[in-house]
Amino acid sequence: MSAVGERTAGPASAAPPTPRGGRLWGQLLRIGFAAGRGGPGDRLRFWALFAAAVAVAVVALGSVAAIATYDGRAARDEARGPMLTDRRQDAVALWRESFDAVGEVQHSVIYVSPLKADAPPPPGLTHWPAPGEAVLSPELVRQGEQEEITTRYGHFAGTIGRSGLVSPSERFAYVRPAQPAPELLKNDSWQYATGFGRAYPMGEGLNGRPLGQLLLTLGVLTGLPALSLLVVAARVGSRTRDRRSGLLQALGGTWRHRAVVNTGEAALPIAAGTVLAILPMLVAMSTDLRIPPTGYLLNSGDLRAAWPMTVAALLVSFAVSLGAVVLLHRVQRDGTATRPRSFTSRIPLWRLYGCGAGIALVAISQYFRGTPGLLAFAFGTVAMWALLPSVAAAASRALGAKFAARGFANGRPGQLIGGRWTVAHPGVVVRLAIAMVIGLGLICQIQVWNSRLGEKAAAARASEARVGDGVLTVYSRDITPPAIRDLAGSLPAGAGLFSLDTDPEQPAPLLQGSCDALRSLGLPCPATPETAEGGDRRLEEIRNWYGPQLRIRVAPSDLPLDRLYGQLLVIPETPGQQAAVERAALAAVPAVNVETLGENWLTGASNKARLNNWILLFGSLGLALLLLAGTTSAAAEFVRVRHVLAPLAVLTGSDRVFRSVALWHLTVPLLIATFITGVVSAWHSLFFIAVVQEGSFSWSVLAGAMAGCAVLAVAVGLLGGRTAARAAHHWRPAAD
Amino acid sequence: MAAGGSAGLRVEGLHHRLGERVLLDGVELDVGPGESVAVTGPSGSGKSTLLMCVLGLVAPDRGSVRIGGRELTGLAAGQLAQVRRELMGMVFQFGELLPELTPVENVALPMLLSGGDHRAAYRRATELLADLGVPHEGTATGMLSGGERQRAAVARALITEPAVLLADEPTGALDPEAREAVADLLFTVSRERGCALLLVTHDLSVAARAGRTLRLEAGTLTDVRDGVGA
Repeated sequence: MSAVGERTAGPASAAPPTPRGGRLWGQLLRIGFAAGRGGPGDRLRFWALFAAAVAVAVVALGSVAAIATYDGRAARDEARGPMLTDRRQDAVALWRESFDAVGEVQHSVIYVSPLKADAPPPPGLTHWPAPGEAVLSPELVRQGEQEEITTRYGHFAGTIGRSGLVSPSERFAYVRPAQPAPELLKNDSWQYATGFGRAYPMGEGLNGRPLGQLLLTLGVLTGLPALSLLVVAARVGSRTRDRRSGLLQALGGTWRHRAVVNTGEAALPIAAGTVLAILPMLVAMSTDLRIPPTGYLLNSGDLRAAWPMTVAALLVSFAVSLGAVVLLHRVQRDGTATRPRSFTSRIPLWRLYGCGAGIALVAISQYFRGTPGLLAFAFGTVAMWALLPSVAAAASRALGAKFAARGFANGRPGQLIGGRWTVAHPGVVVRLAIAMVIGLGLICQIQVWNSRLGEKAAAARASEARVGDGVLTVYSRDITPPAIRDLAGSLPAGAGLFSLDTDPEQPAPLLQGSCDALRSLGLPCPATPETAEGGDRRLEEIRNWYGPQLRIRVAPSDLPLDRLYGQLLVIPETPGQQAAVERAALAAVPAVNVETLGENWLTGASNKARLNNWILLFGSLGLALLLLAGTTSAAAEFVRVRHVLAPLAVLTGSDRVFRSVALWHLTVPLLIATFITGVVSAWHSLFFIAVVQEGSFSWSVLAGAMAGCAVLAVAVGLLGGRTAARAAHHWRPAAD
Repeated sequence: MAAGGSAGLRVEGLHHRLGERVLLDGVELDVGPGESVAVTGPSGSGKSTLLMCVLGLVAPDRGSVRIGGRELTGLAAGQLAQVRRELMGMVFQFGELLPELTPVENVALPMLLSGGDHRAAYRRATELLADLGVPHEGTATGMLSGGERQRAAVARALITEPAVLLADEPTGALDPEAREAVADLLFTVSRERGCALLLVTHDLSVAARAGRTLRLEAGTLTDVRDGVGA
């Protein structure tokens, strides 16, 4: 070789071309951009990347919204917290906290009474309410309309401004009692406040969860599925990209050159998806957005204040999505060899054993007490659900071989090919089934957890069903004999007023009332305590709650009430009088509690259920993403093989084969997965209920969820078949 | 020059333009039973368009395509599919076999898809594979060599006993040895089975084995050997 030849063929020419300015990178970007719009499966890849970018950006913006909301909530919570003092002379107002409920949702009622005329009112109020006036949050007014909330605490004097509420959906009330301050100070429930501006959790702040916990839930339930969609989207259409990468490599390109081409290819869909994700954020920034199914209203001001963080999150989300696509790109020989691939795709055995071990762990968890038992149950459950899709795929694979054999024996090409594909590509079934398995499991678990009211809450629910608001308890440490007289005089016509003494020193609880009141319950009028016999169903409920040995006695002219163990019972003549009774009681005694039997148990359970709504929200989003990832993966599988089937289908004029293949390759395995998951979900839920001896399993919820999954299985099959058939119609010989 | 007659393929006055570009400008072509014609030409000359017109996947602007005496142009989609099913077979560049199926199943697939008797399809597929020297028992499709795969693709094209066999770069992905074997096979079986073979290829050595070699250029077919129109 000549010296010239050596120079021209030397390392300089084999090395990657030296970038001149940005020209090479620009060219590579343009190559990638063009490559993203021409090969088979590009449209699918574009939309898959687009959807993945939307999902990742939505999770990022969701995190920003959570952080911004928590910041705003903390600031407003602190601004309205009372600065309490023991020194009367420093105080500007009397302050007292109490609780009430609308429906089964509890809210804080803050009683205030200014001691100085120039004292600033709490945040959210333009001025102190006048004596006997109440200022309510807009959400409390909205939710409490049926219960006539605007008349419950006194004269309705308007709504609390946004600065006084941790969120626009907070139920909250400020009430100024009609009584003057000296009168109020007769009882020790009131506290002196020197102003407002110290952290003091109340209202919604009492039921909140730490920010870290919310972000963790969002990350696990929605973020991980979004990342899985990103991984799937990054690998869609790998056949053509692997060829291109091979070519670039052969031409002396390095991984950086490949990365730039991949960036050019993926940048547009990812940028479009990231930009689209900002739309809901923009809506939430312009108006308070209610988040279904939680009913929570986001404070638009909080989100507006966080715009720098929003921009940063969008940039990070774009970079993460693009970076994942570039980093996940591996150079493989798949699709570059002329020989068709042979498949030995088996489900790794450890996954099946792992699922079995998970089930065994759940089963034996009942023999361990306390934390070890809980850990065994939790680990077993996670392992079981995570690996169950592989079990479903293994079952589908075994049945796929049988289907293929039947298809062969009966000469049905769709059944033959579909069965063989299921045997060869069980991963498709695993990816598709993940969403269904986790979805069914989650729905059953939420149903069981929501049914776990606890014994008392379940009893309260039963009581409510039997007598509704037929028996109302009225209790407060401040009920004085004059207040009882006031209350007796202002109750709805025909309502009976009783006192109930539950002093444990007594042989049994004692119910006292006027002779008329006792008779209204179908009872006699004994002058000395005696065990109540008979009575109507309302008395039966009282006995259920306070003891079967309940004693009764005609009360003296003034109804006695033990300050420590006593409470009043109001038994209206007709149902639906709770609002009137509450109004009367609150007029007589500020901050008094008026409840149906066991109502506080129901509000506790309701708090739990409303927290579950967040799990439902994040979980549903995550499931939708997992399902999208599974469907994309299946669609990519169709793209991979449609170039094989399309010519045959065109030549034979039969595109029914695509629908038939989709039925046997997608729908049937998903139905198998649905059945297996349904059985395991039922067992798991019933086992859980048996161990904790609480809650109930709803077969109808399971049946509904399984029916939903079955519909989805059919829809995925139809969609897959239709997509492949449509693609086949566009097939043309292309060896030219 | 043999005439296609009513049993083979006859293309008359075929015109097709793509935008301003004339791809086929009065193409005339006759391929009789047992006869083979290779069409060569530079990329983009319209070879694939000619194949698509013959397959009925592209409707020409003018002219007619007759296969087995049946006029294709103007047929409804269903009738076209029936003609393709009954009278045509096609071999593709990459064979396009389903690796998940056995060689016998791959070859039987066209008969299964067109609703033929499956037992006869399997029997016929086995015979064809044996005739063409493709291992068909105990060997997965994925384990076939490139040449064996392409021979299996030929067997698949022949299973419906087509009057016309179309081949689109059938040796394009093969090594020289396999290319020779597959080319031999194509020309031999078309001659022995009496079907008209229309082969589109860039490979002049393969094209030279055909009864006639035509070159498609500027929208017309010219005979490579004597330089006159086909």
